[in-house]
Amino acid sequence: MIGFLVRRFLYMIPLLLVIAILSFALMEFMPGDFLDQFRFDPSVDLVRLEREAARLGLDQPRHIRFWRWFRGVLRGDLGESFVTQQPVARSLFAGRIGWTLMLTIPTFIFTWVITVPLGLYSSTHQYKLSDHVLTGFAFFGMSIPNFFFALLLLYFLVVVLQVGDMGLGVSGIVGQEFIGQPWSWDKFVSFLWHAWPPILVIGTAGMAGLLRFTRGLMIDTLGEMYVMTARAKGLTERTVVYKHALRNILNPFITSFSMGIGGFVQGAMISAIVFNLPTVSRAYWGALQAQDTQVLMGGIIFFTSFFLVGNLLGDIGIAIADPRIRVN
Amino acid sequence: MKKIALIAASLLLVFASVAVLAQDYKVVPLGVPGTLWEDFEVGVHGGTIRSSMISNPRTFNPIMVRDTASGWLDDRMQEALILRNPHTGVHEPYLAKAFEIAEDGLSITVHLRRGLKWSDGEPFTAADVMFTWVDLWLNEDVEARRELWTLPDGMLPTFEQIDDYTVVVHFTTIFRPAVGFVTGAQILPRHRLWEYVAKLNPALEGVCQFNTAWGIDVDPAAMAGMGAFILEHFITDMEIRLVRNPHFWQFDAAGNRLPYLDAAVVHIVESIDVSLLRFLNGEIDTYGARPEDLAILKAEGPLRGFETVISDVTGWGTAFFAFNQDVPEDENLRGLFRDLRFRQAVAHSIDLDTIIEGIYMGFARPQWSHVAIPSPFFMGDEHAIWFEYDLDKAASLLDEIGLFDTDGDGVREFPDGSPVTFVLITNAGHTIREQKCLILADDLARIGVDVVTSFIPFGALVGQLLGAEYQAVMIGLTGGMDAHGGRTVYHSTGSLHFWRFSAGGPDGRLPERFPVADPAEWNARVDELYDLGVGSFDEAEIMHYYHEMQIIIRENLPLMFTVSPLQMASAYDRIGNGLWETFEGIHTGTGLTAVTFAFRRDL
Repeated sequence: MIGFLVRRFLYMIPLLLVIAILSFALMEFMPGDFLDQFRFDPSVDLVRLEREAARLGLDQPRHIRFWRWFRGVLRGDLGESFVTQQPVARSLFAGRIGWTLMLTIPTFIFTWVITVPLGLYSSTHQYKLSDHVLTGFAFFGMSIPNFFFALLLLYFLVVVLQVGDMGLGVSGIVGQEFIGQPWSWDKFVSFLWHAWPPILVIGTAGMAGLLRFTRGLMIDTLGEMYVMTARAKGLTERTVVYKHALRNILNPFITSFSMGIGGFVQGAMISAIVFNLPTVSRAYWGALQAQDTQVLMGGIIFFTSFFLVGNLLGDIGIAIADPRIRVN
Repeated sequence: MKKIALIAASLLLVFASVAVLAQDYKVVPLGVPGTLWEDFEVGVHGGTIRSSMISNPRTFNPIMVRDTASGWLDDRMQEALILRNPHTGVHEPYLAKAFEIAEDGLSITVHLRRGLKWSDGEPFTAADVMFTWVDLWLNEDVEARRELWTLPDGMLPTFEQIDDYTVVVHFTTIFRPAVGFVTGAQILPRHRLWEYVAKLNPALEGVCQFNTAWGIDVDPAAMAGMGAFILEHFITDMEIRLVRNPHFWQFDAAGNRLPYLDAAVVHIVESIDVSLLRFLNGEIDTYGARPEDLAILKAEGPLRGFETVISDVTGWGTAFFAFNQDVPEDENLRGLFRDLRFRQAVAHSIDLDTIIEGIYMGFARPQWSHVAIPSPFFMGDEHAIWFEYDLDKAASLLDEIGLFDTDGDGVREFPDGSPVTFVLITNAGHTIREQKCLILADDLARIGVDVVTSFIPFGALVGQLLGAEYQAVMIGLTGGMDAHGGRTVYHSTGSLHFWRFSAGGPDGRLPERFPVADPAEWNARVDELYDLGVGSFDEAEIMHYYHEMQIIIRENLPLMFTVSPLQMASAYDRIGNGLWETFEGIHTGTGLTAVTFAFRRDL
């Protein structure tokens, strides 16, 4: 098992290297650069732009810029944000990572705890009314854009329910009276009030895919010969489903679960913007808009690393669940 | 008679207040009839006002500000010596008590208000002014935009401190805009910032730290300002909280120290739709409305207790179509774009009514001048030269040029048989510009001109414009109060003379491509007028130059302007003086720092 882990860990190093090169290339393919926002400003003259370009290193050829950045990456220095002049990690995560985790983890749990049983139920009640209802819900969740669902929900709260008359706020992570205040019971309640809409919206989108995934996987499995054999042996349907079929679909579940873990540190971008949540992905969105390439490249490295760690955890999970993987 | 008595009583109160205060405080005659402030009310102290802005500030260092959000906040926390009142167009003293421009125009003597204090209680003196001007703005280590201060002869101004409350700025040549740039710069506290300046602090061993000082993670306790508010905290993506400067140096006519509010909170709300919902929900007190919001705002306002006003004041920017008169590798198009009759034909094809009604729901104003409508240099619509929407006239102009549809395919041809077609670009995602492009393309198609619209990323657009690679563009420019700000665009050597870079020749932006200057004839007079406009302090004389320039530029149509949206704002009735400005920077009135005068009625 240790050899397996070491091997998987070592695989990550060249992968990160390739991703570093690709992320730099990706930024280079983007038209323009950070200074474009000033190039068409009549009050900014050419001399100033040239000085800014020199200060930010944007006047250097690509290979030099890449080498400078890559050398920094190897030393663990991802540079500074062009916009805020803060270190990249600080620019992305400071003041955001805690809130992001407080939203992504409950959303993840909400999605999995509700959806997997529903998917199993749907698969064992194929083409019955309940299956059609769940399938309809899944298609709704998949087809409605997150931002639109979020706006609808907020509109419903504000204009129809008029929650403002009850002193309740919408959007944001806590009520405005608690911003910057230490944690208290009231602040926690306010957090819960503000957290449920994004959890619902993000969770619904995630649930839709997962529900279809679980249902399809289980239906396929229930059609396998060994399931038929189990039934022929006279086992109860409950034993067939939960002891035989479910155990055999664990591997893709673990993979899917571990990929979700990698996304913990980002949070859903569009929903974060609509719900005005201080998540890491919102910082990344800001960097994207400003073409703050230092933050963008650093972000890709960070997010990929988390994703790879999630995958590694998934591999470990699969190795534990399935001895054949360890042996091979 | 009653009015005169009221004015007299108010003024008496003002003088009495000032006498009691015995300082050089500024008294703002809020609510005094016959003044600029007559529509304001005298407020009461206390409470908080809440609004929103769409992005985080990038810095709290006024010299390093390059974005709107940071600029708005700095304007609340710092003050300048002299500013041009956008309502009257006149330079007014702020931190200065008075100023005199020498007869030869080569120096300005500024007398500071006495007895003022920074927000932390330290005295404000000429040392702070000299620190800001000499140790920061003239300091090569500081990334200040010194080019704004550079005189036509390449020199920078010099400064002299006469005493603790008198400073003099010397110029080597008359350069009118420098007065605004130099005396309009926000003054920073020496006692808080000297330690970041290498030449003043040997401990830095030559490494200047000023450029990163007062960044977004600054400790508010380390800051000080002369503005109405000071920073209490900034929480990324959530809010900025400003609190009253206890030493602010402005008072109302009743002797109350301004601002009235204890705090001003600005929420960071990236989505304007969500900002609207927050306003409707009562979470924020003011909101910078958009035309598409008016229906719900007008319907909900009486029910929820807020009011929405639509000003006849527009923003500072311009929006226009332009043709690249240097378009590469296509002599037909280059010749066409340089032909005034073609540009007139296009101007007659711009359906401003459809743009105003269809895009702005009626809340925009046609724009004809290159000078921003709110600028005191703007001539006014009574002098406008309009190119009315008239496709017949446009078609006859194209006929006059010799462009006819010879093959009957609906598109006119050049004499060599090639079709009259060009690519019109704008930045993708800017839906208003995209719609304007589509409206124009549709109208030009009706008179036989084929327009291919292409919406591309902003970076690519800027690259094409500044590299003179495009054919036609729909874009906008930010504007300012001083008409001289357009020099980079309209002077033949301007770095943004993107519609004809060849005009600049070796002094232009692309000397390697255009080593020999090839300007349009009329541009020489515009160049001359720009030089004349900065060489005098005589307001009447200056206005004459800029008015002539507006006519010349309009007649020759290097850019075909469209419309400028009207400014709108909503505020709850619980906020007094609230509709004069929202946190989004909407100026519905004087454009001065009205949040300084806002107050809560519900205390």
